Formats: sequence, structure tokens, C-alpha cells
Amino acid sequence: MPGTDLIPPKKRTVSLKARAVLLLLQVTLPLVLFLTLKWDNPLPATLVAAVFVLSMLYLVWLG
Amino acid sequence: MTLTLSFWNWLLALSPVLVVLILMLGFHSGGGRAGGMGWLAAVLFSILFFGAGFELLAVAQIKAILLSLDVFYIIWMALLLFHIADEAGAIRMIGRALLGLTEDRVMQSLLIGWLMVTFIQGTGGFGVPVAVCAPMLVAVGFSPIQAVAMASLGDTWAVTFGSLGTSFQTLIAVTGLPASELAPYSALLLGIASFPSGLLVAVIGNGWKSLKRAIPPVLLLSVVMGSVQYLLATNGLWTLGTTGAGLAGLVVGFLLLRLPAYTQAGTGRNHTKPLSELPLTGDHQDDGKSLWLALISYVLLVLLAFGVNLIKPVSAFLGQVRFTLDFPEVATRYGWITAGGPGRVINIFGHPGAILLYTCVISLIIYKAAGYLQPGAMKRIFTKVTRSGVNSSLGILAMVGLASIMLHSGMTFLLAEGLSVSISRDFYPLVAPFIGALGAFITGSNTNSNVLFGALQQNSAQLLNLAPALILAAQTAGGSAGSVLAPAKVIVGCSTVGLAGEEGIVMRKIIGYGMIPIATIALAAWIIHLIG
Repeated sequence: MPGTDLIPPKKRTVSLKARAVLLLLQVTLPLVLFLTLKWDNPLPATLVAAVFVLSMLYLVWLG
Repeated sequence: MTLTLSFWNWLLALSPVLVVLILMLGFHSGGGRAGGMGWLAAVLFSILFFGAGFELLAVAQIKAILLSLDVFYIIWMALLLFHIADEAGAIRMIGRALLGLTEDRVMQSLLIGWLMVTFIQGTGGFGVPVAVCAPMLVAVGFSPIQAVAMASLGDTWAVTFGSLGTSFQTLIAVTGLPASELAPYSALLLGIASFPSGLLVAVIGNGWKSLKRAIPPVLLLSVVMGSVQYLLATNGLWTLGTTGAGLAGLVVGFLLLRLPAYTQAGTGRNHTKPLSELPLTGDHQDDGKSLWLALISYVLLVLLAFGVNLIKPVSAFLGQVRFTLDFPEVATRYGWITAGGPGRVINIFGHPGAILLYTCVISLIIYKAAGYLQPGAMKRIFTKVTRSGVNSSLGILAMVGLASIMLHSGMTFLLAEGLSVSISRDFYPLVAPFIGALGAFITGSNTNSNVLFGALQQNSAQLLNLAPALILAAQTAGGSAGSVLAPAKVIVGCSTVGLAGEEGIVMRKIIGYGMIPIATIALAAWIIHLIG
């Protein structure tokens, strides 16, 4: 039935896998950040935060 | 304390929202891109102008993830349930059953474009009701533009308590107010909005001449659906508010069809095709299936939701495992403090998402045993759920992050302060639904609107000494009506009736009509405020 196909054809060209990986990354990174914030060394937290910002830039690029 | 209120500071605080607005309306960007840019703007401006530091931003984002997970739990499971039912043929069979009941164009419009839309919104949401019902309306002879407009406007009142109450759940989460305080006003305003919503469906489908014929059934059905939603929402069953209202509306709608006045052809201007020529009836893949067995997933959902919410020992047993994180107090350089404490608590086994999951598992077992699922069904369900879920989740995650950063850096408070000093106390209830509608129009989601503006409206209400529950109800009711007018949702509706690339025509048709339910909500909120 056509009524259940929710994604307009044009948008299918964007990789679903890339989006799924991105979503997984964006959910898990802040949880990892929560753990690293408790460590004395600020470097791991900074790195995780940097990767999260990059993931947001990737989301902007993906559209 | 936060930055001193001035026009430029207020504009800076508004900037992340403006970025989202400009990208979505001016550049037709999707929720993911616009939300991502808005998030980046929020991070940048909070650091440069609002004194946010690394720890504050980290805490804000981690809290946003907890809130997002809470919402994702429902979204993904609701999508899963809808696609399982669809694979079993439930949606097609409901459509066919409705079409064979009456030749009256007004009643056909109302049954599919309003009652059916409401029922599907109860668990489907996220554009699903319009995507499913618009082709059904085309199948009975309405034009594609009429079909998308009717299904969209029929949905205006049903979004907040739809999708198992995702938007309402979010409003509770972002404001910290209990459901018992928010539900009465929210259900009342939405119930009132159901009347113009139903009338618009009839008018768009059959012209203004059909208004007189539509008023009696629409009045009766809106009173029934509004009352059922109110009773469910105010008795702790807000997750079933729209589902229950839709079911009650369908039952009363079917009873109305027993009256000769609503069985035969009325005064509609469309030609009614013979049933045998309709696309839905030409499809034989559901021959031999029982409608009641196909509907088992929705029956189970209602039973489980009622059971878990009403039977205290069951609710207590399932509520034993909860997930949350504990956060430290954080502050900006300007002294805006966010108190420490636990973030959003997720009740793993008693959550509305968990109830949906149980329903999905049992439904799958029953449908498999009955042979209602074709080979490859599981793969198709997985693909459809993933495709819809991933796209909407990415947008929501960015928007929730944006809202959380604005909240923790004092930007939301500054916005609220600005609004509260520029709009007088007596007129704010008139404006609140339009703010909610604007947020939903920008983001394509009642949920996102509540995330963006929930705290802002709450702060405004407190500063103006207004009842926060009424203003937040106006926010979410306006968001419900505004979300169906959003370009993102209109695009989805158009894509299912062969109108891809012609969304502008539909947008022009529904924007003006769509203001009527929002204005009705605004007027109702204002009158309630004046009555006191």
C-alpha cells in the first residue's frame, strides 16, 4: 500500500547506514563523556566532546 | 542572574532558534541539518556571550541524551507497532471497512480524514496518519490536494496525546510539572480544537455548502472524543488519550451510520466511485483475514496500557528498574545556576515504550500463528522502522540538545523575560498557542516545540504571574495544531498521493485553514484565563 511508504524518494539517496551509525554515536558519546568527566585527566573528556561536535557537523553535512 | 535584558542580548538568545527557522523555512532544510546548525549556534553563542563553560555544556548535552532516550523509547516502539499492524493488513482492512459503510461524502470525509486520522495518530504519529489516510481519501474520489489537506487538518487536535503521548511526556520532562497538573487544561483546549478540526475536514472535502450538514455529527463527535480524551488524560492514562478518543469517535461514527440520514449520498461535490473500482478494494492480499484478529495489536495495546497503569501491583512490579544519572551543579560566568541532582528518570519496564514493546511481541506471535505475515515481513518491518526512526531521532536529538544548552546557559530565561515584559499579562494566553505552533511549524514536531519552548513558556508564565499549567497547555495545543502545517509533514503526505514537488500548493491551501484551530485554542485559553 502506498500510504505506508513514509520517506520521499529524493531523501532515500542519503545513506541510511551512515545516519544509523551517526545516531548510535550521538547517543553513546555523551554517556561516555559522563564517565570521563569524573576522571582527573581532562584529555579524554575533551576528546569525546570534540568527536561529538564533529558528529554534529557531519549531521549538518548529511542534512 | 544572567545577562541584563536588552534587545541585543534577547536577539542573541533567540539566535539558535532563528538559525533553525531560517534554515527550515528559507532553505527548506530538514530537521537534522537545521537542528544541527541550531545546536552549533547554541554552543557557540552560549560560550561567547552567555558565559558557558565546558562542564556546563557537557552536563546540558548528557541531560539532553537522557531526555532523548525517554522520547526515543516511545517513538521507535510506536513505529514498530504500526508497521507490524500494517504488515498484517490491519490498516488496509480498516480502510476497506470504512469505505463500504456509507455513500455520504461528508461522513466519508469525517470517517477517514478525521476519525481514522485521530485513531492512527494515537499510536502511529510522526506523519503516519496523513501518509496512510490521504491515499484512502484519494481512493474514494477526493483530489490529492484535498486529501492531504483534509488528513492534515483532521490531525490538528490529536498530536499532543497521540504517539502514546510523546509530546505530552516531553512537556512533563522539560518543565518538571506533573501530568496531573498539565493534563486537564491540555485535554480541554485540544478537545475544543477538535470541533473546528472536524468542520475543516468536511469543508475542504465538500465545500462550504456542506457546513450545515457537517455541524451536527462534528459537534457530537468532538464532544465524545474530547470528553474521552479528557477523562483518560486526567486519570493518568494520557498515553492513551488520542487512541481512546479515536476509538470512541469511530464507534460513535459507526453508530451514526445506522441512521438513514448518514448512510445515503449527501450533498458532496465529488463523484463517488463504485466500491469495486477503488484501489483498496481491488487488493486481494487480505482475503480470508478476520478484521478483528488483524486489529488485535491495537486491542492488546489498550488492554496492556490500561492494565499497567491501573493495576497498582503490576505498575509497582514493573517500576522497579529505573535508569538515571546524577549531575553536579553548574553555572555560567554570569552566575546563572542550574541545580545539581538526577536527570530524567527512565522506567525501563513500566515506560509507555515498554508497553508498546510487549504489545509488539505478543502481536507478532499472534499474527505469525494466524499466518497474517507474508514471507519477508520481518525484514520489511525492520527497514521501515529504521528508516523512519533514524531520520526523526537525529532531528529530535539535535533539537533537544539545542534546547538543553539554551536552558542551562540562561538563554531561555532571557527569552522568556523579554516576552513577558513586551506582552501584557492579560494578552499572553492569546499569544502562547502561536508560540507553540511556531515551534512545531519550524521543527515539524509538537514534541520538538515543547522541548524548544516548554521551559520558556513556563518561565514567562511565572514572571507574569499566570497559571503555568494553562500556558503550557496552550503551548502544547498550539504545537499540536502547528505541527501538521509544517513543511516536513506536508512533504510526507504529498509523497504518498503523487504530489511530490507540489507541496507549495498544499501548503498554501492548509496554512490559512490551519490558523482556525490555533486561533480557537488561543481564544479558549484567553477566556479560561479571564474566568480565572
